[in-house]
Amino acid sequence: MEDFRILVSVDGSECSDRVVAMAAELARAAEAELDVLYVSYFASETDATEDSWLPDIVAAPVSEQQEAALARARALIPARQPVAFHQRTGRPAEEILRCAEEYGSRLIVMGRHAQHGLLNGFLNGSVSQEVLNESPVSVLVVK
Amino acid sequence: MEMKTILVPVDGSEGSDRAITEAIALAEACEAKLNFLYVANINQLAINACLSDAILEAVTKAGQVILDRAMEMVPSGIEKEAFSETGSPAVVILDFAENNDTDLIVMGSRGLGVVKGVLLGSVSQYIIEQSKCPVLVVK
Repeated sequence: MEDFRILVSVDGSECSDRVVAMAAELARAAEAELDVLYVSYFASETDATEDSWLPDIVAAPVSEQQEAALARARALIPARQPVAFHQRTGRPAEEILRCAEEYGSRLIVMGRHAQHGLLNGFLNGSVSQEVLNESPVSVLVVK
Repeated sequence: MEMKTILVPVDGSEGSDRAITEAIALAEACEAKLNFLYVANINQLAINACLSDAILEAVTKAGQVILDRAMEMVPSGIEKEAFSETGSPAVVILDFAENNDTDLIVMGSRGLGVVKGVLLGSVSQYIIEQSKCPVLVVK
């Protein structure tokens, strides 16, 4: 298939590992290119220098989280697989949909459970739900 | 992650046709087997109690036509099988997926008789929430 790009949304969780494994298998089979995306609510410029009373999921430095998540994904993707890594700031569902459009993705692969776990629950509703509803391209949801 | 068995629930709708096309492409690429499943949406009690044989036969026949069409779309060389069940579609599909070593469910985003304004069919919705294996929703 010509210029078949798959967008993979990761958040550094265990579920993300299954998402990446699934996407890598599909990409291999379909000879597709992978775009691995990590979306954070805040830009790394907002990282505090002092300790915070807030839980890590809220207050941990963004840059570390995104680097860890993308490195974890990279480790699961075979070396010969064409892949690009991306980082965005904003509401995850919106950014995922925007990236899919920008990259011309034919398929979005993502976890079912809230990205960013707890934080997602009260800030955002279900990310996969929103992407499923709004996406013009097919969406693969991994548990 | 290996992909050996792909389950494609079919209902004769446009969305289900797109799902079939996509599933075939995937099965071809991954050398996976395709299981097509048609679920006649009838309550078993209703069958026992009041449905005439004629109605039951008509429903079964409609399902068979849909399954035959799906099977014909598959190029030779890809393993395929057709299954017909009765019951509540979402529940039957999930049971079937679990009992038949399913690696992936491929389905349309909406089936038949969708209320205007509802973006994702209720069956798709339920399956995405409850499924133990990955679900591909084809647009």
